[in-house]
Amino acid sequence: MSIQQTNAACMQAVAPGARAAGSGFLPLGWLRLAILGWLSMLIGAQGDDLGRGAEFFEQRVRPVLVEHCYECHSAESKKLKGGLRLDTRDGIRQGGATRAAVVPGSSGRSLLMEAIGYSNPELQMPPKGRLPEAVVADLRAWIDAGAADPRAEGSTQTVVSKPTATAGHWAFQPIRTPLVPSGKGAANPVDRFLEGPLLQRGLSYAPEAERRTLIRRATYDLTGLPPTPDEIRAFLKDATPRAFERLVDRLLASPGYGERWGRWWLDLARYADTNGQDENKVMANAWRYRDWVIRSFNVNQPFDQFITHQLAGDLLPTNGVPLQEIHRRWTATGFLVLGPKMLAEQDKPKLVMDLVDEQIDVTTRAFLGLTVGCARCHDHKFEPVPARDYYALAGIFKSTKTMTNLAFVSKFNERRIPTDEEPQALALAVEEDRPVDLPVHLRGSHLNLAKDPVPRGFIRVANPGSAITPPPDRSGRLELARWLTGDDNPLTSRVLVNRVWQAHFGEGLVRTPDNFGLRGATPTHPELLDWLATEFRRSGWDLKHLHRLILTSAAWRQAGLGSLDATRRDQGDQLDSENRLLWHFPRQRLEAEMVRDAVLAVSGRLDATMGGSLVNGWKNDEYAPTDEVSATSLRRSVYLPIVRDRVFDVFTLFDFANPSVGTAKRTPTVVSHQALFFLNSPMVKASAAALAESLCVQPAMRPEDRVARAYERTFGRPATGEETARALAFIMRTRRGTDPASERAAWAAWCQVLFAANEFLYRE
Amino acid sequence: MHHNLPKPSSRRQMLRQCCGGFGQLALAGLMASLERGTALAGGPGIHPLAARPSPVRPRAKRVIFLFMHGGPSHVDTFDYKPLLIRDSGKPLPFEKPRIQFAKTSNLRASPWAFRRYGQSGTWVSDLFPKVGACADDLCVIKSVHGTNEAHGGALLKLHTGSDTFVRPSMGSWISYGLGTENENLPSFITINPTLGHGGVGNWSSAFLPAVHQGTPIGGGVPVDQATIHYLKDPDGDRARQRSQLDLLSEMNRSHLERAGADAALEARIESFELAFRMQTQAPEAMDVGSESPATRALYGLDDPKTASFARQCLLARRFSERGVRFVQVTHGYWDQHDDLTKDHGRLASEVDQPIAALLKDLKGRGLLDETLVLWGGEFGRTPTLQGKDGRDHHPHAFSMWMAGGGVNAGTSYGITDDYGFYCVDQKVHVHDLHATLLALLGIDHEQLTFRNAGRDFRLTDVEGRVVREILRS
Repeated sequence: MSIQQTNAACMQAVAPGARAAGSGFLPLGWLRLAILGWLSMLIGAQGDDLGRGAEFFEQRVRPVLVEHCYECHSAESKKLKGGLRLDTRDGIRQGGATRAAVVPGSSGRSLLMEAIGYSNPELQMPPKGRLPEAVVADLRAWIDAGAADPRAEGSTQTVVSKPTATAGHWAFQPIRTPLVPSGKGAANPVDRFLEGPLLQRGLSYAPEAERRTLIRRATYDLTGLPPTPDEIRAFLKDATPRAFERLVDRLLASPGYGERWGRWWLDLARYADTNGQDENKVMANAWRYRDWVIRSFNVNQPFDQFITHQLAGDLLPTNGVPLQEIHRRWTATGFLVLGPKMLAEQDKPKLVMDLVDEQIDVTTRAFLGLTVGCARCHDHKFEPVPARDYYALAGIFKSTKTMTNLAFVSKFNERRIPTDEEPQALALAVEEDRPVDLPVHLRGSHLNLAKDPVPRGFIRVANPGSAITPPPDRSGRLELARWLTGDDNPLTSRVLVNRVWQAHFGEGLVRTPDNFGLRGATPTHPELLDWLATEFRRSGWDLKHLHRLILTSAAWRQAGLGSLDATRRDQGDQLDSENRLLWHFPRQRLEAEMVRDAVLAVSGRLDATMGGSLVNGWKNDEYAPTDEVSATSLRRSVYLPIVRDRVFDVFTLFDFANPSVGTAKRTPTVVSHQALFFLNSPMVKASAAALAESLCVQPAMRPEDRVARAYERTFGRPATGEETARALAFIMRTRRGTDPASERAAWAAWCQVLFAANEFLYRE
Repeated sequence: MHHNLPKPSSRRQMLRQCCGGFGQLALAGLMASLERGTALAGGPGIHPLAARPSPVRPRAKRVIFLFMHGGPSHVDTFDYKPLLIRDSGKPLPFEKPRIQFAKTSNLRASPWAFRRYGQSGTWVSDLFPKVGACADDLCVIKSVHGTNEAHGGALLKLHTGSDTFVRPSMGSWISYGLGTENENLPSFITINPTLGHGGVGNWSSAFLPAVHQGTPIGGGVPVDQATIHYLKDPDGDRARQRSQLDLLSEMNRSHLERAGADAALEARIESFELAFRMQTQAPEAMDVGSESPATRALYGLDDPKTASFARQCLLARRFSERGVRFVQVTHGYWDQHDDLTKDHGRLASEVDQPIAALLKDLKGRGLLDETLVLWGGEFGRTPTLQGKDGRDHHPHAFSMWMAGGGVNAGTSYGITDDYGFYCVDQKVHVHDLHATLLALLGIDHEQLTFRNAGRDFRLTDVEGRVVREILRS
């Protein structure tokens, strides 16, 4: 494999000027002849004529090194590549991470010649293009003549990049425990943190949202479904002071909570039921991981455990633990197996390292909010993550068995988790493999290894003080989980509470949820972030507690932009156009699953059965079949099969997360194809017909009551007189006859419009 | 009135909401039209697909990619190797690559004769006599090389530039960079795409805004039944649908009044009107029934052998004509590990006439100059024999050709060794192909970037050399 292939995660490594430089350099024939003559003299002198050798160096060698090599291989290099310095005599003779760049007297044994000769596809220097033949010949002659190098003895030190330069970055600092600001009246600590900055800018919260808005907002937010008319009525009638708190508690306790928030985690876990990539094989048991996730949310498993089980569920003590729980923990490790893999890659060592890379990517992004993949090929350009740290972490995953075999088409690993009902049950799961430390792979290539293996370990900058290290006799996954969830890890809990905040408000306190590094955004409310992270850990990583805290704040309960008069709106727009300080509740479009589930729920078609596989007809390891399940199923969206590279239409249309990579944030788009879906899809049509059917089931019911009922169900509010009149006019206009069928068709057409309405698709 | 117009800042917000952000190039064009004040909900200024001028002089405005899925053999089509004939049956006199898909034996001559065509004297095998007759319009690149020897990886590499990571397709990048010339049609259409070997990954927008995703037409169904999803109202009651849209618009406008100015809500109101128009425009674009008998005959639309691909090529021309930026047409399955003689023969006979017809037709309509036609597969095939009559996957050297769109017609570029095994000179890596493609469209591949997860991404990653030699000066 060429370097280009693996060296993918970096940009514009070489300055623009460097590229054309090779061409104009000393190509004149007569000059070349002159030099050859001169060289033969030099060689004849056996290199003891250092003066003339030095002159040759100064005129013919040093300029080449300066022009083509120093950018990456000198004291001035922003990032020293391959640990190699060519700007000192010792540096060039000692070499970098592999071996001597120059062996005086032997160009054949000099790595420099191999690199500039472009004969080894893994090692071609300068990377932007081969040097002219004449220059190569100069360097060869110089080395063969003894590599006279008049440069001062200089430093022999090889610069090793350290994560110190940027260790002051806020996200790498220990989490503080800020005092809750004193405030006037606000009972919820969240508001105390938010009010100060608002007041400072002369802004304030919008008034509290109406109850109908609140229950719709909270029900979607916590369960992914719209509230039923009965639920709305009950909430409106509840006159007790803690009515809203009770609503939140009811929603958190409902099974829909795990289905909605489990799906939220599945985005980050790049969950799918097929492998994708080159060989889109079915992973017929992936759903067990999905069901485990949903269950974990519903039973409110402490989140540090939730993390630990996914990375190392198989490595926890099992004394006295029921078999069913042991099996659950194995199932949790499916997290590491779920990723897309190039199963037919014939360079198997590369396949393994790609797999490790994928595991590193999903783990570091999900838990640390860092993208460290760049460090596979070189020290990270933007973040203080040296390649050594990458390979320290890679060693942990390399010591983990993810694949059953590396056949022509490789096979992912599963473990048997038999039960009485399902004696053949299997779950995607990892197991321990032989522990191994990996050397740095220069430029990401397994064919180009550094001298010494890097002891297994973690990303140092993310927790430099930690005393945890992987033991020699095990992979170190359990230690990785302990390191991530340790009290001294500054990232894990911050990253997590930020994600939860983002799900509730549309934007996080840090607006780059998967990049807490140097190039990420700084928090809008750093103290609040730290306070939430602290409180979250103090509560025993209790996610439901965190939801309660946030949802019962005045910030979350305030009304949207529509509640503000023009003056307030203009003022807010001018002072804080991006609503960073939260002077109103931001409008949010329903997510893909919510769109589908809401249409089915409102029309009374939703099948609320929980769990289990909808891919029963699909056999493990078969190629992914055309997904006919999703088009006809009435189950909640979270249970539909996710076929990688062929995601169900409705999901793709409404900006579903790409299931091949962990997704921290979905970006809602507005495209006309979505409109076509509401106009013409059989699912919407059938649902509109079902809703119409339920409205028309009592022929005696007055048309205006039908309108009222439909409005309650779709928008969670009564229709105004004007809206009712409009609706009835539409029915009159579009009815093609007076028979019941024509009547129903007209109502169905009207119900379809309700589904297409902006009011249905957005939550306020 | 003026105060009803969203402020620029909220329009910027809207850009983010609707489009998920833009790279500098795309943003510049959009912002420019915002400044000119053309932006109203759904107007050309804020539509994420609004046509954007190329920053550099473009040679081509759009692309048709004729993708030969499976890997047509270069040494049996466009890379003529006399020594392969002479040394047929002998072992390859140099080393085979470290990684091979499967074993192959000795050198094997092409079963097809080659002849020279046109004033350029371009060598083309007897598999492609009609394309050969268009040789003076072609620029054959014989030194394309990729990095992956399996179909999936090679397809993804060719379409997205990466066989390791999930990346946007080249069609998505081009849509993102240039927008569309026809807002009533998608900007990137892929006809009859393969669902395997990366599937949607080959036309996905990955982290680019979803609007730049390729719209598949067909794939897994016969081409004459292929259409855009949800394009057709199953009830077919257009008058009723119009009434629905009128009611919807009223409801949405009152909602907007209550909600306060919100560009996303406004854009969504407009999106329904666009969808309504698309329902007539897209079927019209796909209706090849209106083509003249002469055109039908030219493409071979009524010959069962060529009908399917003829239809695809005609669709490609019709979409291009209507301003679709990137149209891909897929044909397969050129994967002859055995039965090369029979199956390459059959496959070529299905596409030879339609491809030649497309070139002539585009030329006759004055469209060839501004439409870049690209032909090729995900890799070539080994000059060495596999089985009794087959060739293996071969990413180390293969041929693609371009026509129209500002390329040096009637030329070829790149040299492979005597047997067509490795590239020897003027190598064109897939990244270089992408860089050149973008250059032809007036886009600097190093400038077309999108920020994702903390860094700027490009179609060409950190690679890519524009092959200036093939650009018409």
